[in-house]
Amino acid sequence: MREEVFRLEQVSIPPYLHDIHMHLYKGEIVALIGVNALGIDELLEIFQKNVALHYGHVYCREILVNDYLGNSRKVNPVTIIERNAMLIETMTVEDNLFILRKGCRQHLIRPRMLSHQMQSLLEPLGLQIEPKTLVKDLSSFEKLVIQFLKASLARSALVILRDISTFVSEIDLVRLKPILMHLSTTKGMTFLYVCNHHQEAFRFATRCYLMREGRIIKHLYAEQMTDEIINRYAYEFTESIELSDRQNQYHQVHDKNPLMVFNHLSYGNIKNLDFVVNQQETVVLLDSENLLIHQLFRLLCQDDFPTSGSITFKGTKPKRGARSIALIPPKPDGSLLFPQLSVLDNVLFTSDHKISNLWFNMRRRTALGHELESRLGDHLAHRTLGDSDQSYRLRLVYQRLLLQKPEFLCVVQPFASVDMYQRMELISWFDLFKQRGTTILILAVSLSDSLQIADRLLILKEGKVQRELLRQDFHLYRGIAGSIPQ
Amino acid sequence: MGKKKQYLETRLLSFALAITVLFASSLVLAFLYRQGRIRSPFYILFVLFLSVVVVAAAYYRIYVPYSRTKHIMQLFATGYTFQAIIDEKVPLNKEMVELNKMLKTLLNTDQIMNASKRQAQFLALQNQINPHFLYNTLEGIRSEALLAGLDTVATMTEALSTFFRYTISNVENLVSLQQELENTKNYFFIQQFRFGNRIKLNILFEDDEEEVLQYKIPKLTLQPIVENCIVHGLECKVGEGNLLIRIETSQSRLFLTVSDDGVGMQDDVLKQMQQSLSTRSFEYVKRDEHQGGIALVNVNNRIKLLFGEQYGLTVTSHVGVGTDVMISLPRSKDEEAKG
Repeated sequence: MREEVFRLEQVSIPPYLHDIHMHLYKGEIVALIGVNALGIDELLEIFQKNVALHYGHVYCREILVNDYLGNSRKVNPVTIIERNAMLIETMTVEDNLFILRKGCRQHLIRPRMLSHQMQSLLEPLGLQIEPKTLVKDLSSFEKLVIQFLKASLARSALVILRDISTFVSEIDLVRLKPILMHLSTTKGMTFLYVCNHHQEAFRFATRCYLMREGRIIKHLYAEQMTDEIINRYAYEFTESIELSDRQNQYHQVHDKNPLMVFNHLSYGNIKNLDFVVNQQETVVLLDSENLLIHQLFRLLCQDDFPTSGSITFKGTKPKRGARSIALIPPKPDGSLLFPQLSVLDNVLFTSDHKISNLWFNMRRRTALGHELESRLGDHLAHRTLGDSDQSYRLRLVYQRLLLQKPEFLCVVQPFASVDMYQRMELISWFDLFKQRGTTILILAVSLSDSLQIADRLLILKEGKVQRELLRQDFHLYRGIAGSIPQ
Repeated sequence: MGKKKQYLETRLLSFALAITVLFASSLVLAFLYRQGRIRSPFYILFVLFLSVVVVAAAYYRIYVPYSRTKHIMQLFATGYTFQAIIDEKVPLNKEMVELNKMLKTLLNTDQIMNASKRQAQFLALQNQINPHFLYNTLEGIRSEALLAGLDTVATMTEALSTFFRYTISNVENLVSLQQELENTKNYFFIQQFRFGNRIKLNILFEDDEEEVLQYKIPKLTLQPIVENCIVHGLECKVGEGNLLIRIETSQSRLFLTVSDDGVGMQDDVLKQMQQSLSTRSFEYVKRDEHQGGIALVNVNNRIKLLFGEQYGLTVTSHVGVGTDVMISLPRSKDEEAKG
């Protein structure tokens, strides 16, 4: 008999969740894969808080904590770990672990004792952190492990890991597995691993729930966790990306005219980085240690200058704000759109170089709006973003880029935290850019489906390019990838 | 008197009275203040404070219970719950309590239980044959087969006789998991005469097998689901078909999952099935048996009637992958059904 830590019975919150049944035992790692994103946020909220339910019962450690007859709105002992760490960056690791926790009743802080306690917690995990290290000086992986320890000290019934591959490098994901296993077996911690890729989930989890349209569509046990079964649920994805027409465009040979040249670049963790992105080529730059891409993107944005070396675009230093270069940060649906502007103005935001007097000519803008209605819906000029969903927002960002027609496009983690249908749409957007001759550089910590749109993969390690793979050799790649072109 | 205050109607009247008194008091106090008979505004402030307290009390004592009752009525109307409306803690008025009592009589669990059980037996047997006549006939066939040296026919007849004996006789509600599994295996054995080695049954115990086999479950819980899996899932499948019964337990629950790798259900059929399982209705008794899924709804309703609304069946299915039916039951070795 196993100890159950969480059980959801017939939980419904229309239109987000329908008849959800889940049970999680103590000391196991269970994955939740969202085929589409509908209902995931609401489901995770139910784990965390006792919110109003349309129907159903929620049990935490065998105690009924929430049901349709009444909700206490109390918080459950659940820790959620996602991109934004719950640690205070300007405080030390010891303070974050021991002082900033519920039930800390010490009036006198004894730093030496706290350091000793911290080391004894870190030792079994094979992690070494100097005493009095500030959280801001930790790597993403170290922050992640510290959050596990914090959850353990807080006696959380459940730890939810949400899209961690978007901020933890692939090398660190390999290091993470024994740590999760240790915490689940020795400390009895239960983990819910929420992600969009089954390869990633299968690596850690012993059971897996597949969710689509707010319903659990399959509960996979260990022996059922195979590509063959999953592919049946993701057949739309497989069919759409494996179309021969789609694949053929990536087998065409391009002229090797360098467009963007990174010449012996050094800055922060970047050490003598030297590579070229040729015209009409799509290159994926995989930062396997998660140390470089943010610094590289900073240099591309010209927010800082390299210590040595240079970045050249068509042989010259790129101009800041030039429309021929588009730089897309992670999660552009939040950072690149302006909620106070209309949908149409958001889409046309970077098209002023293509249409003269765009911002003075309302008639021209309205005409463009009519043309875009088939893709983006009616009344674009009079509609603001409001509560539009992530898919629609991403569509606006990429539609804007399409109108901008940049020669060089750099995107950071385009497939992070998006569901299968959004990934399919993103792939078709990148196909369109490819057909229009745009040169694309993708900066990634995890590959996800990036290889589907790539001509070349560059793997970075220790500040420089360690390995290069061409499209025909992608099958030789042994790390986690959402999908690899056949 | 104390019980009367539980009615929403009484609370509403008390609230109206309190508001009237406060309003009248504030008018009198304002008049006296203007006349200069009282000099301090403290009294007016005190009445205002009392008004806030009364409104807050009305929110928690009237509005919140009213919203809850409204929600329960919505759930009752859509078939999600029967019991919650009967157990309502703050009924609208005395008449509503009487109405609930009447409703309880109409929804008499035993009567529905019997109807449901009969339906289960009907589904298992398909027609109303006199049981004793059936047993005697089967025993007769078995003896003849043994005398003629037809061992296979004898074995098959014995299995069929055992199956009927379990299904029709001993009409108790609960049996041990061991008994139910034996009957299911027996049923599967009979089906194997038809399908041969094309179909396979595996039983997987996630916990201590000996302990788990003692737990009580409603009679004819597993067999109708296995039958459904064979008839609707594996029969139409080309090639080998596998059935797996997975048995898991937690501190309070027994989870039985019947999985097949058959043809699976179309999305619209699955949604209809899930709707029938999440809401409670006995409409299925009138349905055409060829529509399929009657057995599942029947088992689900029986479980909910016996143990409570939080227990029952959950179905997931996908074309080409198969169907999983998870049965959630209370973990108990007692004969008595627990809610």
